[in-house]
Amino acid sequence: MNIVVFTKRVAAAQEEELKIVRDGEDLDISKLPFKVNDWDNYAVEEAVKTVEKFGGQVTAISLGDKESDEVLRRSIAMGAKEGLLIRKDDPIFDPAVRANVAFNFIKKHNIVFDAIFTGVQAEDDQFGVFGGYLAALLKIPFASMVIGIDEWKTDHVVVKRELEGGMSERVRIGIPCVLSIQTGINEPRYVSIMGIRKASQVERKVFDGSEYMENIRSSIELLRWSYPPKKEGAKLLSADIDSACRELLEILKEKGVYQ
Amino acid sequence: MGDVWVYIEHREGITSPLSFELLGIGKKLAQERGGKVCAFVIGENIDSIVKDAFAYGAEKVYSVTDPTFKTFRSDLFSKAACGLVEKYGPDVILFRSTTQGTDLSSSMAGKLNVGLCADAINIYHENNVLKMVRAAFGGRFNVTVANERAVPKLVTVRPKAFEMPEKKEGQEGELVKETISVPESDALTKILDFVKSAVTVNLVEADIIVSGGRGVGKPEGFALLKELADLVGGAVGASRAAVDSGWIPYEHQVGQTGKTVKPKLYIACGISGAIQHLAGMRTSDCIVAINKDPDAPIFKIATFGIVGDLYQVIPKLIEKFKAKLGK
Repeated sequence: MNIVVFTKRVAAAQEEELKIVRDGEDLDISKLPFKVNDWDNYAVEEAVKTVEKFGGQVTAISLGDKESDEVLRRSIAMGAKEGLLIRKDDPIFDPAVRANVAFNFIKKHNIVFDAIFTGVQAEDDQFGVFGGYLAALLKIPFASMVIGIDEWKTDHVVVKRELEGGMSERVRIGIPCVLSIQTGINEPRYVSIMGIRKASQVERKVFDGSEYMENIRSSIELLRWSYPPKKEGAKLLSADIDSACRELLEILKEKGVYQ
Repeated sequence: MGDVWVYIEHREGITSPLSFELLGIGKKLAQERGGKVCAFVIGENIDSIVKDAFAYGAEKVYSVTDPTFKTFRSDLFSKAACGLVEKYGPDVILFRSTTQGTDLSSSMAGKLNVGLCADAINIYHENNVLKMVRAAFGGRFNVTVANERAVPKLVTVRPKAFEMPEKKEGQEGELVKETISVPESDALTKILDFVKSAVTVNLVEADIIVSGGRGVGKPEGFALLKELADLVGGAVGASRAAVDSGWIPYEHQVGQTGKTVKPKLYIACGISGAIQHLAGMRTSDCIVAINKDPDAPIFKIATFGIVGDLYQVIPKLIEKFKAKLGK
């Protein structure tokens, strides 16, 4: 069983200050701390858990600048056998382009896999498109929002997917396939600094990302960053609970909650 | 410039009015582009969906029916959809950014090898260029993008980002029936069964959400929020802190790792307003925050605020609301 996991290093947008620069042309994220994409952390854990159970090996791949090596070391510390970096110093915003690069890379290096795991989405741009797009390019089946793997056979897997409205479905899906992994599917293992240090001794191969750009037909053009309409802050209702509730009832009425 | 297509999603033939919501913005964009707004529906028994698509304003409906399309499967549906696209050449295709819409659009985009703009919160034309606005970094920034070189342009749209179109029963249009069948043996996926979670809550469709966070403090508190939600005809939401504490199941979670919602009214009880939570609800039409801490970040984005203990406010509100309803 060979599982390839795509893992991305993302800016952790917590409470830090982010700034729009160059008249909306760009966003300055240099001051932000970076981390592994939350969803990918679950995907790596699920891949490692799966090979621990069924045998095989996990290969972690990251597409990004040289600092993305950090998420590969982390994956190796969690149990991946090797880490490959497709190095591209300018960030690629469009998931269609990312998927094409991944596709070209897989084809060029003839990477053999039973399944590709990705996170459902990346925290930074929240597209959630990469996995489905890559599967379509590879012409293999895809299941998104995977919340459980029930069965793993030589020619198929049975997975549980999260749907809307408290529904889920069990799907049998042919191998090879692409699965996008949802948070909460497992408890990602703790990675110690010692573990990462040890993982650093495993060689991570680096590839020049510009060599995998062929056949990219169109991409989304980023025009402008802006701030959403500023909210003035809450209009505070009376400090007296009784009056506050009365005012709130009026608001509910205005919103058509009752007549 | 030409036609704007809207994908009508359904689960084994069952729709909700929101399945048709994009016919509203679709019509506006089509008029601006000098084309028609068209719906496309793929399924087994979809006659009533086709009728409703016309009622909600589709000028043309493309339908593909076959028993293999009974249940949504992204590989089969995208084969059928790409067949339609190649034959009829739409200009823009809109999907809801739900699980189904995202699965189908990303699979189609990969097959057609075109860019895809996901989860747009606004779409408009400027100098004949179709521009899409997306939220980034938990909604603290917007980014405007274009996808001019792509034919067709695929866009998924955040649910409820646009007004519902008016439904006019009996409205008719042109129906194009297409036969595209994919043999079951070609299907690489098979749905084995649906599992209904013990908890069924549809936050994305709810018009009113009563949501609780760390300040709720205990599982019983959510029973109180449920009482209010039931009274006002809403659903119960929760922050990750409340879910992680085990007070309420994950299905209720709103935020970056939960659902992104846009109800008419969001009542946040004991929610401080961490960026991850705000990412999932900040575009709600009206936000009422109830929190003991006057400095809680939630008050910065709320429309109305009550600084107070939810355990005093909510029972009082329930009592007054019942009195109004005469219960």
